[in-house]
Amino acid sequence: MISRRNFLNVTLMMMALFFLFQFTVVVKENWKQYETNEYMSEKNTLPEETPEASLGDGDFVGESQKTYIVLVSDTSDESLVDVVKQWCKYSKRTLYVYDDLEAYTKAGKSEPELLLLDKVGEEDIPQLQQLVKEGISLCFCHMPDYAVVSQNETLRSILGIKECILEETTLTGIHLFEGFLLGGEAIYEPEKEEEQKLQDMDLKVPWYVLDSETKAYMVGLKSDMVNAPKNEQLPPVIWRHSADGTMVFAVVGDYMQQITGMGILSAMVAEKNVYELYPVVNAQNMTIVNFPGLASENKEEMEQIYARTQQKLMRDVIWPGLEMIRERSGVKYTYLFATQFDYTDGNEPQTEDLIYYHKLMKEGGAEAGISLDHKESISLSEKMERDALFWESTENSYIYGSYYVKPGELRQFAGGLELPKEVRTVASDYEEGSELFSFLTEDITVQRATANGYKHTYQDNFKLRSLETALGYSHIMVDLNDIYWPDTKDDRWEILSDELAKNTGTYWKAFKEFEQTVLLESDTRVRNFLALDYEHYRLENCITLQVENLEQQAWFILRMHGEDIADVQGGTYKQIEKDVYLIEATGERVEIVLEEQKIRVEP
Amino acid sequence: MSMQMLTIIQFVVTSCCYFLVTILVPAAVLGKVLKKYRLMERLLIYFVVSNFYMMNLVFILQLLHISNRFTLFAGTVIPVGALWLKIHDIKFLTLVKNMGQGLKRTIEGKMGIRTALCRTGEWIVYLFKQAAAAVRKVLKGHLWDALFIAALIAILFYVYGTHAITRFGYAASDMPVHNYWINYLSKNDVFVAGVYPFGFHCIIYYLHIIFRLDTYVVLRVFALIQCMIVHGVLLLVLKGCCKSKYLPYLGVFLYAGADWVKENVYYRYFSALPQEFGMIFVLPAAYFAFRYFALTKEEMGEEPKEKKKEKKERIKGARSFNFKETVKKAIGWLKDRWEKRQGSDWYLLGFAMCFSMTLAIHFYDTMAAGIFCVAIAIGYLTRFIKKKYFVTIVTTCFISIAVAVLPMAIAYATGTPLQNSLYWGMGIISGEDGKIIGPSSGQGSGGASGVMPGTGGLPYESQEGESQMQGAEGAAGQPGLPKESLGEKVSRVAGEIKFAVTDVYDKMVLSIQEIILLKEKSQFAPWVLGLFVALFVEGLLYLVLQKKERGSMFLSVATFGALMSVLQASAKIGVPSLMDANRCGVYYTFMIGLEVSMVVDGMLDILIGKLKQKWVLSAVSFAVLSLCCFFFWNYGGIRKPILAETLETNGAVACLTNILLEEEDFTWTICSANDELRMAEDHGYHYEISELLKKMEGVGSLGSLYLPTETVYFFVEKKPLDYLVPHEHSGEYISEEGAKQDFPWVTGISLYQGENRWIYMSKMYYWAQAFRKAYPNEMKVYMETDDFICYKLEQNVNHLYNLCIDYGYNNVAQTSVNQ
Repeated sequence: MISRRNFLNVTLMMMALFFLFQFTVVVKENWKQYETNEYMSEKNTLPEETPEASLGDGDFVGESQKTYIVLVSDTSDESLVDVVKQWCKYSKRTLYVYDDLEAYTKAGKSEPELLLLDKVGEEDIPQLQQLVKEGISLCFCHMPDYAVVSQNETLRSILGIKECILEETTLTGIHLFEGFLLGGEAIYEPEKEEEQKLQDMDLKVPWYVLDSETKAYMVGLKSDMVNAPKNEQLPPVIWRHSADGTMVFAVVGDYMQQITGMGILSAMVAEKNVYELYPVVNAQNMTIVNFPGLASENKEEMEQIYARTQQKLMRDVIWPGLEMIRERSGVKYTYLFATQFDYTDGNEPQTEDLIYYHKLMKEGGAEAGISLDHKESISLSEKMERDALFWESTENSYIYGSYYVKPGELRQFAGGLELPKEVRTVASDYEEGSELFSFLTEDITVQRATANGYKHTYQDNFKLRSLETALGYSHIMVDLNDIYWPDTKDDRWEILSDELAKNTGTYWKAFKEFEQTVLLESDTRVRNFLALDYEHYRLENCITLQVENLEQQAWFILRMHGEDIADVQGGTYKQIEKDVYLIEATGERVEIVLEEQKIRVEP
Repeated sequence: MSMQMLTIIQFVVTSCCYFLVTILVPAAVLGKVLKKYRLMERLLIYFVVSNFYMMNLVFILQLLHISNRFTLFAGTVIPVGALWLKIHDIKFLTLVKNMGQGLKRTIEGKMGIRTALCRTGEWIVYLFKQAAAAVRKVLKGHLWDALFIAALIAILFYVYGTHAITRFGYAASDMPVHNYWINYLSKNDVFVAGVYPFGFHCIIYYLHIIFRLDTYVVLRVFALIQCMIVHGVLLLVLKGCCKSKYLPYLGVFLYAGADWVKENVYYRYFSALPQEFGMIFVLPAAYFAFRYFALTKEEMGEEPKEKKKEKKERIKGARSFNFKETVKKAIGWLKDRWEKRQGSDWYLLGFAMCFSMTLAIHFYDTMAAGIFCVAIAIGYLTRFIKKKYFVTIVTTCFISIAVAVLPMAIAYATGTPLQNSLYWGMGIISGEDGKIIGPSSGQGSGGASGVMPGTGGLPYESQEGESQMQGAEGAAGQPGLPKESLGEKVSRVAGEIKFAVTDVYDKMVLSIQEIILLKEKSQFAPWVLGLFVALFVEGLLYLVLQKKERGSMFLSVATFGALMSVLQASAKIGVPSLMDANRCGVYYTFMIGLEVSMVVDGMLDILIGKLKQKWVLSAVSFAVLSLCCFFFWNYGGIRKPILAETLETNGAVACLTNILLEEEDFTWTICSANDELRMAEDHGYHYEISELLKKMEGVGSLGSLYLPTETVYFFVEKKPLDYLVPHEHSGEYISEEGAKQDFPWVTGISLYQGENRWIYMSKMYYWAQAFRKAYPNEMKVYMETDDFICYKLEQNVNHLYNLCIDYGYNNVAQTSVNQ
């Protein structure tokens, strides 16, 4: 028999325990403010778009006159101009574009930081020789024809080519050496059968053998040859020649015509100079588009494949999978809600899971946004109207600042269609020729995706390294519509999630020092990045960086050659890899003190 | 940290390691057995036994090709441990059991970890206390000795240490060769360049392997260590030979610090060379022989007649042969002998080890030791010719020679040829005076016939000395002359003898004046010769005074002095030159230190040694020592430290040290002139600058040279060394003028000698400048001093840089962009 006294004691203890457990939950519920977007900031505190200068022959782009780049191109191929223009804009350099070398010479400009050459003909060689003599660094963005190179000794001596072996050879892979682009060494050569699908690099290149006083950054591999050539005789893809102390860079293939050109240009300038300091965004985004879907669509197929509805698939299968990836790779998600994809099937969006997902997202530090993806059966404006009605009905106080819009529909917003006032940024897929980030309207930015989480080919990897080098930026966009509306047998979550986990956990590891951001955070950084300007100079062991238009903080990459940072005043720093540092400027004047060369035993 | 400080640390560490294995460990093991011996004798025995053991352990393991850290460690610890257990009467199993029990109790929690640690701590404190007590015991009553020893160490640091901490490179041209041979011991390739006495190399290798000390570091600092040991051994032997307490210091101070001899007789102490290491064992061999004779007499005198009878019967019994019984009896006899004659056997063993080691280290040391043996045989002639002495000593000599020669003989028998300097040695003995009679020696094979800078560039293995054997002067009688009367004959012969003695004496004096004494001290040459005469006289006096042991010892030393004097002047006298005069001078000067102390000690002993008050002798010896020191201080002065010329700049050694500290092994290459090749052989790669420049001479970038390591260091002497051969531009900095000179198409050591070195360094400097222009961010200055610069090139191992370029001074036709 239990005494009354003991009974009372036990009851009190039970009550105390009950209270303690419930108390924490209640407090958490109240304090977390699940329906508040913590990443949302006041619109008027954000930098807005600066007017963009027009581009023309001999025109300069941008405002600064301090260092400038010259591009000699007849602009028949806009892609190179676009890439160079974009790179100059982001690195705050002035760009002059000339039709030909003669026009440049006539302009009588002082020595540029780098003279980029698009297409070079035999007739340009004497002028090139003269430029090299004058000590002007050149970059052959587009290699002259093999015949021109092989027949012209002067051109070969400018390019540092010792021997021309073949007009075209098929490579088995490509070897990117450490120290050029961020991310270290990469060998783009499939070793196993299943890796063959990753190979999408340009493997047909002319075969040159480099002379002395050259440095190769990327070479082709010829593993299929019986008598494998020595490493130094492999076909070079990107290299440098020091012609009488003047740096001449050359790129075989169309790497400069793609967005990858930006990283290559940054790396070249870093190679050329004693040190190189340039601004970066420092943002690593991962956007999950169309998740969660609020309407249970494509029911039959979902039942057939997953034996459950779309809602249950999302909650019970996809969400845990995504969380596992987040925990392993440390990414930060931006989830873009899909209200409804197919407006013809009668499956209307439901509000019941909305709060649930908001809670989960808040716990994971994620941001929620809205996807404007839809089937073609309805126009974008109509979808926006119907969605607006739905959102009004939800009594949801969360402010969605990030939207997803398909690239083809972005133009509609320039043509009168308006996004809700609270929208800050729009995520969209990357299209060749488009800017990586820009202003959609005066106060809305567009952030393009740089990678597809499901697929990471060699070319994608090269692009990733290039963009991380030039901008410290990556944007993985994972579209779950492929799961809800599968086209092939491979569009299944178990397959795609494997790929997603593998890719995000592997290829982004090298860039872990860059910060993981959600779209709104990244938006703030992009705005600051686009708005700032800077100057820097070095006096002995101190590099002084002067930042203009600084909003809170800005990030810079400092690339050195065998020197280390001892201290940074006006900011902080961390090492990304050997000789590469990420500087966070918190003040307008940053002083980077370099370590003096230390000898352990003095003679 | 400065290189000076590092050198001091390296010296201290290496000394500690060496003395740990040569003094402390043997003392811990043999101390109990040898406690009845004098301290100086114990120290000598420890030192000799340990060196002998290390040397032969390495030889055995090397010949079996199983030498490595593990086998060397096991080969040291297991026998030493077993001996220690045996001597201290501890059973191995009991020891393990006790230790196991302690461990078990700790694991089981019966004894707390803190208690276990406390007990271990207490044990360590106990050991320290024991050691401190032992030191206190030694120092008790020996305060003046301690002070004199401290003074001796100070003198040695002053005279020899100054060089050691200010010049870091090797001071002899054959040091890289010795380094090379030692390096190959690490690859179990003993006698890599041919059969050669490897005793010294074995010891350095042992230190390198067991204590993980870099060979080049040991070789750099071991010169001072072995110099101190040479002086220490002289002191110990004098302590053993002299009756007075303080006179031993007279000879050692004179040898170490008085300014009376030429540099060439002690210049070799600035390098760790085998000959000087072998010198350590010459005097102990003689001392052990003296003691053997003395103690054997005592022991034999004690042997009772009954025992002798027993022995005879045993021998008789042995004639009726039964194998088992014979073996049993032989073991019994050995045991019996060891028990009864343990004292003299230790000395005999010591003598055998020392003699063996001289042969295993350097033939010149064997010659010196051999001459001393002959002198001892003469000094102790009456006993030496007795069967029991003769057989034992000769057998011991043969065994010791066999032990030393065996490794070399095995190697020779298995097809390893003799090293070239051995052919040279044989040439000397056969009268061909340094002409190499074996296979021709190239730079690559690395002969040990090196040259010391500052000795006028004379090779010290094959220095052209005085004229060879001169024909006998005057034939004994001319045909057709009238017959002499007996008186005339006697008178003529006496005249001839007188002339010959005077002539020999003059030549000895001249030789001492030329080779040993400073010019301003040359008048003391007859005094030097007078030393052995004085010893001879004292020896005879001792014999007259019935002090046979001391008499024989003095006669032996006197004979040794006389024979060495003849050897020193052999080229002048016309007898076969077994040893080059300069080298002989090193031993001769060493011997003078011994003789001086013994002469003065003998005098005092004869005059006042019989006094019962022993303190009188000590006091007088102290006074004489003080007077002599005062005399030398005022008259002769203290020897000034000299800074020997080194064959590598300080900057280069410091740079190499930094590279070894900073870089991972075998990820780098040093491109330099020669010395670093062997110094860094265990850690990285080396490429000759002569080869580098040759590859691009006349062809520029058409040539190709890739050095396949991540980092390449280029050592350039801004002020090139003369490397033994002075030239027109000696002392000049590298210049355009030098770079413009024709490329020296030479081979061998002359590549880097004389003007060639200046040309190479000049060209190298301009190559480096041109290469830096092409690779400004990849090639940087790593270290620079007034006379040296090192460039560091970092390259991509997957796509190396071609080091061949047109640098403007390699006579390449201009085909570049600048056309």
